[in-house]
Amino acid sequence: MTIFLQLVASGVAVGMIYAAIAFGYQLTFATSKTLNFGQGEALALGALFGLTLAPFTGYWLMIPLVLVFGFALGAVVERLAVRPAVKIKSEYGWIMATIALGIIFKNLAENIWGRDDLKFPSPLPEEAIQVAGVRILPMELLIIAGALLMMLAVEIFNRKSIWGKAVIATSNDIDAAGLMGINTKRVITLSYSISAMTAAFAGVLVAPVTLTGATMGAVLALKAFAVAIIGGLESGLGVIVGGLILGVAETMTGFYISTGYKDVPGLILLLVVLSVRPVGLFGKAVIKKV
Amino acid sequence: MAQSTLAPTVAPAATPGFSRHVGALGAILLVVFLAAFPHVITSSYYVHLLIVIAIYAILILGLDIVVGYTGQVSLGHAGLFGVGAYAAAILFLKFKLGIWAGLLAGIGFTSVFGLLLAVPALRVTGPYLAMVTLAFGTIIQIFINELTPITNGPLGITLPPARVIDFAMFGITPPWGAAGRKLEFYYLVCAALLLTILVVNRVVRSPFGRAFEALRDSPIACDCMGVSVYRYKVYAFVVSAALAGLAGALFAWSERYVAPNSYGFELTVLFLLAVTMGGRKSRAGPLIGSAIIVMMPNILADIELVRIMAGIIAAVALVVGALAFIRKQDNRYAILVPVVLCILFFPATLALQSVTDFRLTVFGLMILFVVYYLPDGIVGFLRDKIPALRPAHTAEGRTVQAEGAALIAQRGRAAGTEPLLTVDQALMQFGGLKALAGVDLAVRPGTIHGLIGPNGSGKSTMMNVLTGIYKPTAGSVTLATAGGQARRLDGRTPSEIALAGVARTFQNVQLFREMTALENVLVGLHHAFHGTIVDAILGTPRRRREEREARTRAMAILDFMGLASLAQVEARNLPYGKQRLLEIGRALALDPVLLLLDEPAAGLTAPDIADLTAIIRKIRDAGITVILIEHHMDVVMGLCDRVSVLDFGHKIAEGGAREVQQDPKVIEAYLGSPAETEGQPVHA
Repeated sequence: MTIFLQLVASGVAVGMIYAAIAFGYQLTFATSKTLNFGQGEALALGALFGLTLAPFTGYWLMIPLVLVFGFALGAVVERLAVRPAVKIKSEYGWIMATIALGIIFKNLAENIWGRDDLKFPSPLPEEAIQVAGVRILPMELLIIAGALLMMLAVEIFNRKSIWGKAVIATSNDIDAAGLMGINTKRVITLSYSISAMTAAFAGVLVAPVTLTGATMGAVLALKAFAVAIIGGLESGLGVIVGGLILGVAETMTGFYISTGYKDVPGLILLLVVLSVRPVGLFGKAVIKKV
Repeated sequence: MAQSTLAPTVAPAATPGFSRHVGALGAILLVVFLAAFPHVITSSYYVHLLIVIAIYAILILGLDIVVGYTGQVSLGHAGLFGVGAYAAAILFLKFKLGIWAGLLAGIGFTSVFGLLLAVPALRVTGPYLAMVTLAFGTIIQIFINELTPITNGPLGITLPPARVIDFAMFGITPPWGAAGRKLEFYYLVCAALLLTILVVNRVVRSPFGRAFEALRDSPIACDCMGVSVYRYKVYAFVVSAALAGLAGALFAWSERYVAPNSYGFELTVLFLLAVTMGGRKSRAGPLIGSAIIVMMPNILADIELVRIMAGIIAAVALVVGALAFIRKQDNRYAILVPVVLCILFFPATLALQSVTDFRLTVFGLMILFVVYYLPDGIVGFLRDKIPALRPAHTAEGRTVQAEGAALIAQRGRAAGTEPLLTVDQALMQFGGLKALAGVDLAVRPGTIHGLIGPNGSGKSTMMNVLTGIYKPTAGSVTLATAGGQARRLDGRTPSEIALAGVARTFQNVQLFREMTALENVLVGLHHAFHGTIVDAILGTPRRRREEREARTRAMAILDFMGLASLAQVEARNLPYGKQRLLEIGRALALDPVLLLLDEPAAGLTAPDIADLTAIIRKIRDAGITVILIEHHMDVVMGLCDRVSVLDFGHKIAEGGAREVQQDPKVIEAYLGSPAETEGQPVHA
């Protein structure tokens, strides 16, 4: 039983990282029906950028700088890869262009920071805390708190600020929002910025417990997409539930089967959910109109 | 611009003779090149390079079926390639079976995986499918890595040199000596490539290929033409996967080593780059694309060569950019960014000592360039500039003469008192909204039955229920067949209903936009083809006869609709009125007993409407029963033998056209009750 609880506890932290990235997918999908296939690279760049800054600023002061970096990165992705493709109404175009930018980012990161994985210094003590026989790393608690806080902050921004309301209006009906004088193009850029910002933040959260490197994001981003699908790309906080399911499923697989297979449940889940219920567990079926 | 939509751009007819032979000419050149290459350039390095290009080309030709023809994004083809490679390698490792068994196993196993990959592809498209296929490829890679007892894990499997022909078994010495033996594998790969080109060519020009394109352009219309989107997506993925498996097995024997990390995300993106850069929907495109992705790393490894290339590119960009500005072309600002980037690339290469480390960045930039400036690839660009290179196979219909008698195959009963179509208490509920609240409808054979009502009254919902796009919440739809039995339609799929003899058109035109008018009608005639995919690949007499007959029928139908002269024009280039007529023509190709027309006159000019009315009458006279939804009251009154009126999901009136027009309930539904409308503007 203790082992089970231990696995759940570790799974929750991983799951929150997935939830944060998946949350980023939802943001851009809501406003523009597109998403960044290079989200994993945004995460890796955020972590690597943070790693470079940390010796000068310390972990905590580095975070706001990484947020700014992620924000700018998202805008670059949107302007270079998404906007031109959306203009020519090419779905293939934005999928390929965001993949291409992701490859370029990864390659540049490899040339700047090297191909080897680096150790990210942990800001918190690395000794586990014992709670009812379950060992929890302080960093895992920070991941959970940080990811939830980030999502909460974005939700509050969306509900309270005028720009956030513009994001919601654009998500509901982009044409009507445009007619009401909202600059929907800038709203889409904003959603990409916030999306990449959450990814970069997730990067510096997860980096201390894993290794940091140019390739760290690829599989994380793919599994986060599984989470976004399980939660429903259109439905708000389903991603937290999806993240928890996947995180726990993964630590279980890692423990009971083999760590080599720990990525498999997420990917299988993605295949199965999309084959059976494409709108996700929490999504609503859309009636197609002819 | 307004002019071009009215006057269709007919493909230049001057060079059909030449363009018909471009393909054959290209094929001969390719054969000569492949046969002569190892004798002219004897370096085994370059021969091996050509082998890799040919193997990748086989896979990319298959990928083009999925990406180019069915319009789906697959990021799983590197995984399929890996399955093929490992199938061949494991067969040798465990059973000491050679290359031939490996090729068969590669094709067989990978086809099964293609079948698996097709399952999610049936439900999702676009970004979802991209992610699913990516997950699929990642899973394959994980399993190859982890199933060590079978795959030898991260260590990989080493193979001996391939023995293509076992002369020892026949007890003779090879007639071409030791030097010739080294080329056996080369010629095997060449043969596989040529065979692949032949097979892909035959498949995409068959009804299968037309179905692939149709489901890309409009899945819903495809289903309503009796062409099951599900089934043909599966075909496309399986054929594509089989070719990926063939390529994989050949690759394993060409490299003589397989390892898990060779089949990752990077490779899959390279394949997509090759298919897009070369040019979709062509045979030359994948060859060009494959050559580019294989040679590029070699070129990048040589910094001097890169600098020379970059210099040439910069010079060309400078000239193109300067010309655009001197001539004041409209797109001169749009091309400014790539031109400047191309020029800046040259000093960048001078500053760098090696670009090998930036290989992926170069590939990424190439993808961006292709996506934005060369969306149709190199072949598409050339076809656009040089008309003689355009595909000629669509021109085959030119010589076919129309025979009016062959127009409509009689299937239903043209007269009688028993209704042909009976709708009993149809209920269609969306959440709390009853779009149809228990509607009865009886359509007599050989009549034109009008279905009218204000906006939102449930007419289009009824149309969708009749054709199986919606499954009714309750109630039944029954079609009387020629044998006198009744056949339930509710609960069946759109393609089953279409094949039962119910054809339709769409309120918002749903043509297969990238296909010609003739090809659109040929998709409607899909039911007339009984040949299997083997017939298509082998080009059997049955397949050729069916194609010839169908093309004759299709031309007859186009002639009937007054579209014969536009047979070779792509549907998207037809004027709007002609598009509506083509949709009706395509529906007629199904040999329907019942034709459903959803607002056929919407957006037409007065002379077009007169033509349309005449055509609908002719259709009825030919024995086809028609259900007509229309807002033009004069069309409805002039044509319909009987009219049903819907309002808020209820049938409020039915009878002869005049009778219904006088009905106070109908007037109220359209104009509101007298008390309410007083002093208010009236909407027609």
